[in-house]
Amino acid sequence: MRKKTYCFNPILLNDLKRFWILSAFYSFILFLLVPLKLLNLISEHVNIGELINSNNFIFTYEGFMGLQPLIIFLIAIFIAVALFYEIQNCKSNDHIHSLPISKKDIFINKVLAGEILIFIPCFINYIITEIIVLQGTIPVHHYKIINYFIMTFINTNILFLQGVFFAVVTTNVFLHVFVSFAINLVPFFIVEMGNDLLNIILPERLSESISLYNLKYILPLSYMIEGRGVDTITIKNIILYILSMALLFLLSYILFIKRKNEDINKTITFNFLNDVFKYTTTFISMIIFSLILSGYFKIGVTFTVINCIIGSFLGYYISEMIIRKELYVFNRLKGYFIYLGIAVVFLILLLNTDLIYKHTPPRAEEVKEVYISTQYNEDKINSSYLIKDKNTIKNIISLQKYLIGFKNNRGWENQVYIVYKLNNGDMIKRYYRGNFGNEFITQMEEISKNIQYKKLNYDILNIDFSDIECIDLNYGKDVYEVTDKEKIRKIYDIVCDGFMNNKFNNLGNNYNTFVNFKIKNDALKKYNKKYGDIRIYVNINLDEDTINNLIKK
Amino acid sequence: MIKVEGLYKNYGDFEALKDINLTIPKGSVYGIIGSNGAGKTTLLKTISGIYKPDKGFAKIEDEDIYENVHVKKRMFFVLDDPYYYHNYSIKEMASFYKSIYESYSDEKYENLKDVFKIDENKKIKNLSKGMKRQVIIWLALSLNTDVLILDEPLDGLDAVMRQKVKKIIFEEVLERQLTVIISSHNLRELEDFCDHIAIIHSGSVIKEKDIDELKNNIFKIQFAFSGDVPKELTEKLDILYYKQSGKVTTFIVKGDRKKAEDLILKYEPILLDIIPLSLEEIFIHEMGEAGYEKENILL
Repeated sequence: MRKKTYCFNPILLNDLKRFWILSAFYSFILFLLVPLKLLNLISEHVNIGELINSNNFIFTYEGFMGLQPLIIFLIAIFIAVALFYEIQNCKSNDHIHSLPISKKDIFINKVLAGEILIFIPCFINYIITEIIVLQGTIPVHHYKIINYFIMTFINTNILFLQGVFFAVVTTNVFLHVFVSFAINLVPFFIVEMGNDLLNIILPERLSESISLYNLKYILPLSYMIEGRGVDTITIKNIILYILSMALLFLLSYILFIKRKNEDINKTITFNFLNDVFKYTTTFISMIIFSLILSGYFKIGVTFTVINCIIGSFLGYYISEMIIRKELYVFNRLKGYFIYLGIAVVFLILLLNTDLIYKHTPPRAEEVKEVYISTQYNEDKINSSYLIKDKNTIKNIISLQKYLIGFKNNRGWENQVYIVYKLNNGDMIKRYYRGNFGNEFITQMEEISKNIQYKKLNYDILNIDFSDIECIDLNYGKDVYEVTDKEKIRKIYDIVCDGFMNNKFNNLGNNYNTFVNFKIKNDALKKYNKKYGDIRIYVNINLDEDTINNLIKK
Repeated sequence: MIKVEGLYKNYGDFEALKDINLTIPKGSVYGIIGSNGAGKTTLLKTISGIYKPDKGFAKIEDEDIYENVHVKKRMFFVLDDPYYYHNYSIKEMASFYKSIYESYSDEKYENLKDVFKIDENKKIKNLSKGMKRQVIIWLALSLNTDVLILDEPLDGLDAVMRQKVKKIIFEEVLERQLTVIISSHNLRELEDFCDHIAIIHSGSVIKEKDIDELKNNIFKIQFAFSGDVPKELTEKLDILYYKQSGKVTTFIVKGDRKKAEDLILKYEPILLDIIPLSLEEIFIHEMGEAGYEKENILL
């Protein structure tokens, strides 16, 4: 029977022999970041408190003036480029595949070499750090050290495996590095900039904040750049990190095995990925180009759409140039026109129908409750103070219809946020800003007469008098602190009465007194506040006699 | 024995190899010749297991070559542009191959050191093109494999070194039945080196023969008659090329040499000379027959 042959050692040893210098460099970088800093702290004889603070600083990714994540990325990607260049270059690719080594062994050996090159620096520096800490002069928990080095190994590893993936699918080193970097930022970028772009096209739209940070398991770079620190090792984290590494490894492995050796002459070795690359570049270029120009010139929708067309064309043309390795690719723009057609249809549907984006207000019977205010407050939107009164809801819908007529009004005089919570669970968020005239004030005043509006917008109406600790009264240029119970009661009554009887509202600016209520700390729980303090600010009108009466000692 | 049967290889929509059938006997020196872009390198890369056939197969002793580590251990491919690891010396490169090929022979390596006379500690990247070529042949022969595939191996070697290399390869063929597959544009070089030839054009093999058989099958006849050239000659002979210069007529004829000679003798020529063609001339005429433009190159 024929003996099964493995070729682990030759390729692995050869790669380690050729690229050990990268590992040495990484060891040096990590040494500068942790052990050397700790040694410096010891030699400076700083006190324990400072040491603990410094330790918190050391065991993060904020080293090298915040560039540490990029340095880790570059090291990981250089290791991937160094190891996998052999399968990206025509000559070396032919050479390695002519040798009696299976594709499986080539891939596994190279990944293993990368793992070793990354592991050794982390391990050596972990040992050095532990030795320093064991001297007993620095109060650092051991879990913090091991957590830091394990997470550094994991993050470097994921970035390395991303590099491996792109080494398999592209043969151009520049593209390899660029795409490996961009992939970490693109999802965040698309969400952030896509939101901004939509807000230019649909100014009344209120973008949802979308958290993409669970992508840290597979795209750790932006998480590291954001300065979120070193993730804590938990069972869940470890499982997710291992799964993402396994996913990257398997995906790269399958693609490498499937990759035809003769496709080394193509920029991207799989035809289906050409389209992914092309249309992603087109889309991102469209967003960037239009946002930069629209943001710079601050011009409206038409100009933005023209910029989108130019931006997407540039993205498509450049990606086609990269794929074809030709400068002149005007005869290959069919895909761009299809993209443009789809984009135009999407834009028409977006701007003129309710299919993608609801332009028209909902029907009153569809609405369960509404938030309306001149200020945006996420806590209030999720509170129980929303307006449920059907007549007021109808008035709000009528107001919104009025505001829709002011589509391109870019003034600053009035603003209003309207958030509908519908019976079917959907939410519609809108923001209108502009010079809407007296009709807007009239309609808002009508809405503001509703008690639910008052409870929603004037926090003081939801506070018990007994929970008020003191009041700052800003009148003219002076500030008076009121601590006297009776005077507090009086101000409280004036303010509540003023709001309830529509003497004051938050729509105008002609008020002479600014009142700041401070709530007692032991009442925080009652108002669902776990920490900090509660301060309520209101603008009111007080006559001079009342003021004099209140500030009299 | 290496057998290639019904082999197809495409690059996207382009058919690089079409229905290739070859039989390469053990211990032979098999030359592959063809025009530029004919598919020679693609064929060699498929035979050496770098490319996977889209259809058909390439086998050694009935075993597929592609992704077959055991079979590939028996062969080594010298690429037209050999690859070396950056910063490696000859010795380091040899040690790398030694770790992969069980058949590697230190003794052969040492013996060949005297032939090539290059310092084994020198970084390969610092050597001239011709010396790099010598190094790869030195290493290839040290591996002691059963099959050696050479793509334009003598390019860049000086005349003396070319003869030396050929001699060493010949000795290997004779001593241990080494099978050599060689492609070259230098047909004169292959003429005295190969015992079998395959001519490849537009991805297809248009001729595969023993070189002596090939040479006997196509030849040049120069003759003169006191009168006109008898019509029977042009009708009965498979003439690839015809040239009349005064009384002297030159034919390049394909077919049985003896029959052609007898046919001409029947008309009592005043001059008759049958000249064997060089491999280069055979190649040109075969290619011409396959539709390759030859008018400009024939003298």
